[in-house]
Amino acid sequence: MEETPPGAARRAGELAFVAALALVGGSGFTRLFPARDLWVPLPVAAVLPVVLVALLGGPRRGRRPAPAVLTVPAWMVGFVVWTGYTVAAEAGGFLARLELVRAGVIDGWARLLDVAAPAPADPDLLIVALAPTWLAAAIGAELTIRTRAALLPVLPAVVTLVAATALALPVPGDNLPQTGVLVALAAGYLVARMPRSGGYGLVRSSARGLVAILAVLLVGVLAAVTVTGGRLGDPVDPRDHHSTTPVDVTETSPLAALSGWTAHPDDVLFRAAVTGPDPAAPVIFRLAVFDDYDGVSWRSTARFVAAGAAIVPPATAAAQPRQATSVRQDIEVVGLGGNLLPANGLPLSSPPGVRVDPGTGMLRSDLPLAAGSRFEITSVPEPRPEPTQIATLSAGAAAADHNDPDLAVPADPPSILRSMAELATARGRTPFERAALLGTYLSANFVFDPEVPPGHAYGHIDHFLGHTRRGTSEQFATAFVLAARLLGLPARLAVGFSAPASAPAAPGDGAGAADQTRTVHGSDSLAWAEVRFDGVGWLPFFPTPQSAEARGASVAGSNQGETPEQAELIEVALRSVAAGEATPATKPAAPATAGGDGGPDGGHSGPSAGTGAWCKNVVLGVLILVALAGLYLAVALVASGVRRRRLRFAAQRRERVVGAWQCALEALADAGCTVPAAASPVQVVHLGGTFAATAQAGPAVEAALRGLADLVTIALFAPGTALDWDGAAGARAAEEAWRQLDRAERALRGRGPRGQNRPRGLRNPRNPEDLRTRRFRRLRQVRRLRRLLAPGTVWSRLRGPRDHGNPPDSPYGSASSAAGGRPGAEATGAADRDSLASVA
Amino acid sequence: MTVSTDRAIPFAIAFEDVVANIEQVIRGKRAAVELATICLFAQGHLLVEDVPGLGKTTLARSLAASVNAGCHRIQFTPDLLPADITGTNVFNQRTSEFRFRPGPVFAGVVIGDEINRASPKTQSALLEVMEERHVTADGTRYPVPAPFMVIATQNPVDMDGTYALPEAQLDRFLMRLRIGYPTLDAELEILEGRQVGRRVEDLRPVLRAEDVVAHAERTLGVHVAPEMRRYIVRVVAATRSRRDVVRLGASPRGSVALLRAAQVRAASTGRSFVTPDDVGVLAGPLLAHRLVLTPEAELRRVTAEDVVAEVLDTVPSPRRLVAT
Repeated sequence: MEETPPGAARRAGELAFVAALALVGGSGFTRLFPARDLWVPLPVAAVLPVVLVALLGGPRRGRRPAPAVLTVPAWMVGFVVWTGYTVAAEAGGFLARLELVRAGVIDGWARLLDVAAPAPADPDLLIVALAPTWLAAAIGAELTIRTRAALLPVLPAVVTLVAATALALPVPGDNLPQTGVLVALAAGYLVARMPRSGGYGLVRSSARGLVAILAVLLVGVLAAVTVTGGRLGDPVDPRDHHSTTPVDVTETSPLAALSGWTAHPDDVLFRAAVTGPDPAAPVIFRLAVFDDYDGVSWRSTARFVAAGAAIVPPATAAAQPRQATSVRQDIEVVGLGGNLLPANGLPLSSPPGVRVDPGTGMLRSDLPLAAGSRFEITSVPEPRPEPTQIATLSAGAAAADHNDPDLAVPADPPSILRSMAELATARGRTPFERAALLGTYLSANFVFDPEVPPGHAYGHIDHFLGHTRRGTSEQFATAFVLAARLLGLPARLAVGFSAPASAPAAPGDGAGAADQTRTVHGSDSLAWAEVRFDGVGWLPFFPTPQSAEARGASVAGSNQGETPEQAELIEVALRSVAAGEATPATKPAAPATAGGDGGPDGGHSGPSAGTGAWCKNVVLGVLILVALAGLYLAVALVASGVRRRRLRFAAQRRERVVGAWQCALEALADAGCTVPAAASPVQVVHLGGTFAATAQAGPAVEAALRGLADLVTIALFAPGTALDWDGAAGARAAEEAWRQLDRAERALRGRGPRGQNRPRGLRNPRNPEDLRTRRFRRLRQVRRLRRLLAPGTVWSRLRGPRDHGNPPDSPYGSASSAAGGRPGAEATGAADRDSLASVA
Repeated sequence: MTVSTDRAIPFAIAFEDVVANIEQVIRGKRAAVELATICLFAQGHLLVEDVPGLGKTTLARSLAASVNAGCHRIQFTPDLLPADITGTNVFNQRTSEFRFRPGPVFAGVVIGDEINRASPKTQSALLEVMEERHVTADGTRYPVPAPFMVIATQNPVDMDGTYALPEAQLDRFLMRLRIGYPTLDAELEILEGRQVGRRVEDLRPVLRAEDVVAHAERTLGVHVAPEMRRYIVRVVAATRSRRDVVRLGASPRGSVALLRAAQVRAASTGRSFVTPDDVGVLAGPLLAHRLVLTPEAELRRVTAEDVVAEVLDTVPSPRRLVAT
């Protein structure tokens, strides 16, 4: 069959598919850049390279496509020029643009991982999305015009989509629509790539290929749904393997500044105009969070990253329904130094020049805060549980995992710390009750004294708890956090401000009640503790008591910082403790860690939950096994079809004939007639014919094999000039070979139950012993045949006009030993052959 | 479909003529006759080895009689001297000078009967002429006519008073042929043939000497695909790799012989190219006598033919195109 290069219209169709595939692959990045920044450049990046490749490298009439050394640099330069004049245009001069494009292509990936999702629309970050899209389109187009591969050109788009999905992992949502469209486009591309000429076999192989692809997809989707539905694990996030350089906040540690602020209680630190919460209630501004204690000082593990216009809240907060609308804060810095910005709740947006730690919501300005500078921050209030909810709250579910950093207590804590913690919380049954009891115990039994020297090392805490029993909020909070960690409650320390209620007519502030401007003084600064509860997040506890010394309203740090809602929660918890004491039988014997707080029925739910999980695992395992088997089956089907197609449409006609012969040998093997590798085509015909005769497959097998053997003998051994392989005769020969193969396969298939269509590797679970005896039988047949070989029963058509006049059946029958060169074979007998075999 | 056979066909006819001519005398042994004829056109030498009474000498004489190239017969005996074979310088009293008197090797077909009965010295006198196709006497070279073919016979059973042929000489024979007992029908036919058939003396030559040479050169043009050359080399090399049973495998001369004989066999069937079946049929007669088996293998009564058959069973037949 003559194959002509595909027509221009068909080629254009294929290239359109490539552009669409690249566009869909690149659209995975739109989740990372939600502000429609990609909507215009992305389609251009998908279409332009395809057009470039088609124009530069497309096949000229009757000639091969232009060499890749011309087209590849062309579209590479094209990308640089295009991005330089569009996305990177604002960089300035030409060299600056080039530098920006270079930075985007080479460093953009790493920077994108450092940026909180969704990413800002910086040019170097946008290039990260555009470069793979361009590359996918260009490579797909190159492969389309240069190869006959059916699925390979789809691969770059798939890789692009996978990369985009991985990068956009922290952003809510998924890329399922894109995946679906990609699959549909890939199928369409495959159909467009299928050869249009050919007969029955081609239709069958195309159909089989399509069915196999659908099967693979089905199995893949099922496996994906099973795996993700079963929550086997979190998807792989590249950010987990990329460490953002931590910002050292010790130089401006607010904990160190705390004593300075409280020492000057009347200094104004900042003013905040807050819209949202009740004007009469105090508002907590958190400045910093410390979660790492080494026995001497607190440190923060915050990693500040640049953020776009919007910040995705951490998962714990996102899991909780929003209780309130967002809070807007306009902060005017007055005396607050350092780089950290105070904020209420979890920021949703950050002003320019301010980085955020997505885990804690801490904000850090790139430049030190200067008096008079203003920042506008939008945030959501941190989640608060309902009072009815606190009894069921659990904490430290990860307690079994001893690596929880929020439970870490350095070695050799003061002994009084543990005894105080156990004494204080002995009556608590739930984690929240224990935390509330701990806070209440500290505030009730210890005295706040701003005169106490600052410090929170083990020595300070020991001194505070065991001797002076007087301390600052820094020591109260540290004692609470360490005690809570000893009790198994994940806890950390926060530093911030408790902004008093708005002062409607405060003289000097110059602000009315309407704008709720709160002035925060040094006396409002405070340290407190936060405890992490499962499913809710971090809840604050304020253990610092009101000052015992009546120094009026200006006594620094005497404000507990509790909002009315928090006070209510504590109240509810304490009442619950009191009520629980009335029925002491329900109290657990030991202050169990949170893991055992499943409630009174916890003991019963354990085993049943275990059984359920066991069943689930078994079902999951079976499903995975079935999916793997299906996947293997489908891959084997596809691989077999692909190989057959490759053989059938090999570049040379002679290769096609040889390919048909290979398929025929495999078909024979599948039918149960394993042909030795040493058998020549004539011998194969004889073996196949004998086999077909014994297996009632009819003479069609032998006839087809003989025709095929004639052709393959000419293809393999005759001089290239024996047949005009490049002309019509060669095409006819190749076609005839595959027709004979089809005929032989049909005849063999009709023979018995052994499936012809099973892919190789799945066929015939063979007994090795059986295989060996079968092989020896065939070898014996081959040897006999070699002796019996007539000078060309097969060659009757190839011979000259004159026949030798041999008897048609085994003319050498009477001359076996001489022709086979085996004198004395009859005399030595089978014993010798066996001995030879044993030697071998 | 047709294959270009313009060169092969006349040869196939000539080949068939010779075979048919011999078959008038040798009945029921077409394979042996064909192999002997292949040997003739491959311009090699033939060693016929079998027990007495199976027609070794008859085959040799029939082949010689079918070609009009001159035939001499040498009966090898223990007292035969080298000069009796190659010829010697004789003093001519009339002209008072030495004149070379050619020995019996100066003929198109030389039949050496019972070659293993001559002394090694005499046997080796054949070496030079078989390989180099000339005789050197007193420093003068005397070429033998073309075609030149030595057909030697020997009896493998009665070994008393014989000298086994050395490996060097065995290697110079293109093939070693064994005729084997005829079938009952063929033997019956022989008996009837004695009554009515023809004797060797009745055979008439069907080919001239120059025709044999021309046809032999023509078969050199038979195509051997790269796959086939590789296959031949693999088969021959495989005989060398069987260290457990083979002390000395076939030499590269064996590869050349196999290729050459395969070309002739292909041409004899009207084909213009060589196939693995040619090699399969010829490998035994062409390679077996070139192998030297280990004593252990001989003790186990393993024959060289068994080894060659085993090698043919293990070397894969060409099934892929070799990139050229």
